[in-house]
Amino acid sequence: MNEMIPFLFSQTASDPPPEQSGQDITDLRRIRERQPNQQEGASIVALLWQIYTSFFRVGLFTIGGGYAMLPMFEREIIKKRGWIDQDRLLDIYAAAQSLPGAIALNSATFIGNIVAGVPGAISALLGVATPSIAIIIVVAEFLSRIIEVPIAMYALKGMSAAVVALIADAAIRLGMRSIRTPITLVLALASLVLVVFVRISSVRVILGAVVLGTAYSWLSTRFEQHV
Amino acid sequence: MLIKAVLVFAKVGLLTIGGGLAMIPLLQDEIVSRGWISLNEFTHMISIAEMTPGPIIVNLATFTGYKLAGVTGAIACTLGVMFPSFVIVTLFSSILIAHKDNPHIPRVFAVIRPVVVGLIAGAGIGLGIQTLSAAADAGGFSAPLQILGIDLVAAVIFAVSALLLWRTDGHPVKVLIVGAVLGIILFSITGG
Repeated sequence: MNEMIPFLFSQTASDPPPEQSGQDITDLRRIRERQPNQQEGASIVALLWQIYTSFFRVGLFTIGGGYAMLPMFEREIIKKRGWIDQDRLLDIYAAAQSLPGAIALNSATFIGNIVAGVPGAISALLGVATPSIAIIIVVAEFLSRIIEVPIAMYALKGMSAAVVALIADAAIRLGMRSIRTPITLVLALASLVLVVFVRISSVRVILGAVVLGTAYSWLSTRFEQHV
Repeated sequence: MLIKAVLVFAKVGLLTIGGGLAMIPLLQDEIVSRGWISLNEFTHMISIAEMTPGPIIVNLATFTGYKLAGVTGAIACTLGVMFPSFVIVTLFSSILIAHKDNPHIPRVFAVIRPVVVGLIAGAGIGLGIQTLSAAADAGGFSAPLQILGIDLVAAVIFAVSALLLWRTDGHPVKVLIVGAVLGIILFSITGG
């Protein structure tokens, strides 16, 4: 079945590789089953606290916009906790960018909902927002003076250069995973060109990909039925 | 007043699509023209938002709320700005979770994934051009050492960070701290 799909998209489209099967974006049940069943109440509280602290760390070290938090997500959420995998992170990023609200908040809400339902979404959202709320409240009093301190400016400049390397690193790692066929390479390059050179907003690029993906899925279903 | 502010931030949160910078004019219109914070504070706040963690709308909501009603106001306005997208994202993700067996979903995402990789690479290139270019930035900072329009200090920090990530599997926090320390040392020496 689906002869055309492996040709176009390798294994990512039709049959996910076995090691990822427990981590589907939508596979809520299995993730929940992984949590111990004894002391149900206590373990749920423990899980929510774990979600809160993990996202707190992500929020604390996200400087320079939504894409800069990718490496922290990979560390804290994928590598350390195993709550989602890298493919799911890309799916969530697409949704987080296209829906109203900041990418950081939306992706936290989304992942929290996958891990532990609505309470999980609330924990993740509060966790990712707490550091910036606390810092701004502290900074609010002497706001105007702080940006005139040269050391703060130098540190910021240095961190921005480091963030460029972090984002490039994340793009390469995620790209090696999801770009496996000529078609997927063309898709990635096309979106890069559209967003950097043609300056089309990334929301529109993602919406275009949704239309393309839907058409592709529909066509491959038809193909299957008629052949 | 505070309730009004919370509602205004909820509206801003609802209308923000596609990243923080897109809604700066909207925010300015809503917040500055009501006299809640001054234009000067607003401009400073955007610079601050770039150097502090967290999304710019959260930073601005916290700051404006604090100015209006202290810590209570800060928390109220921040919850206000987060609430609409929280509801929408929770609904959307719950729908996806409920339809996990729909065979179309993995195929659609198979097309979206490489596109998102392209967007991430694009964001890296955009930020790279902005960071490595020697031209003065919005804060009036211009690179002390430059060749062919490239900020040499930033280029060195970028190279060191890339090397750390490539050779040592560096933790992102470690890379950020190294970047900050190098920034302070190198820009101080070269007299930025």
